[in-house]
Amino acid sequence: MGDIDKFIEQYSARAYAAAYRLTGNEADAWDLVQEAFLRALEKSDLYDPAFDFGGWLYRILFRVYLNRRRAQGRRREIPLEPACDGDSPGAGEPIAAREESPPAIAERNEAMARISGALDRLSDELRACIVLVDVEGRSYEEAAGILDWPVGSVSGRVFRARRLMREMLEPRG
Amino acid sequence: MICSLVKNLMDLYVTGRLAEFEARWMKTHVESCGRCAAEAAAWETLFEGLRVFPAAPEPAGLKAVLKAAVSAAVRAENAPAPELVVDRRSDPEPELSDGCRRDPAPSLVFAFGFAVFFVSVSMSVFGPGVSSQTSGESSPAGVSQIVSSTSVSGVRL
Repeated sequence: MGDIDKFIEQYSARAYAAAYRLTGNEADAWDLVQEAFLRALEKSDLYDPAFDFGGWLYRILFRVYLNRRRAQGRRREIPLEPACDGDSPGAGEPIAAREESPPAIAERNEAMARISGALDRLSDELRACIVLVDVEGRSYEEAAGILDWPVGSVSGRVFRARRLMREMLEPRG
Repeated sequence: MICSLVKNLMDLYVTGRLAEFEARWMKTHVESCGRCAAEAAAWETLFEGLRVFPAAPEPAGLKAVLKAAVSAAVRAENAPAPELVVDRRSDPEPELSDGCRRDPAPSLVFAFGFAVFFVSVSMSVFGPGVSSQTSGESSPAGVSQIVSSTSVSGVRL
């Protein structure tokens, strides 16, 4: 795989975006992307150039993420309050919308921070499913192919993850 | 009861994964029920938020770090592994400091093991040998005690 530099140029941004959504912080996302590329290099004899390298790398990235989490046997840190302090992906990244008024932008950013906090509190497997299906808009079949799980497992986890997120975002009081 | 049923199907309704007749039935109910309409709105907000969830921009220097890591991995993979070279000509059968050979012949080990086994079996079968058994001079104290105790009970040996 002599084109690895070309692949890094082409796919690192996309891989980093996915890694950030999964891990929820920059340092872990950086490590995850690096490990995914090294694993791709290590397994390069299994890569069929007839297929998209990005898709293959994506599968490796998600598997590395789940295997690492399983091996570490730990969950992500759960904030006591929904993340509104800019530590989570999306939080503190104002969405510029020229036609929106400042209160609307603030409301939108707050909603993003709450969604980000709820995503953070999901387990790794549920989070991987919801990132693939609801954030990236992939079908259950595609998500199942990436995660190497049966479609039924993916749909069941998506079902649970959505309900958990809905509960977390329920207005309090 | 209808509301709880509708609530369970709400995410599928909002994402358009219900069959047509189910979706029509849901729509009819949601339009007539304020609570279910609010539930549908909440689900739509959640899905909209997930759809537009912003992607983190790639940090500066990531590509350079990745390329460096990959190059290092390739170099490590291509580097020749250090080999262990043993020159048998200078020391064909090296000896330990106490003069024993490192690899004793298997037949010697077997012979030694057999000898140990033979000695241990002999000891257990024949015992160390009792000198009084061959001399036949006086009976041991234990035997006389047994004889006296049987005489008391009236049985004569």
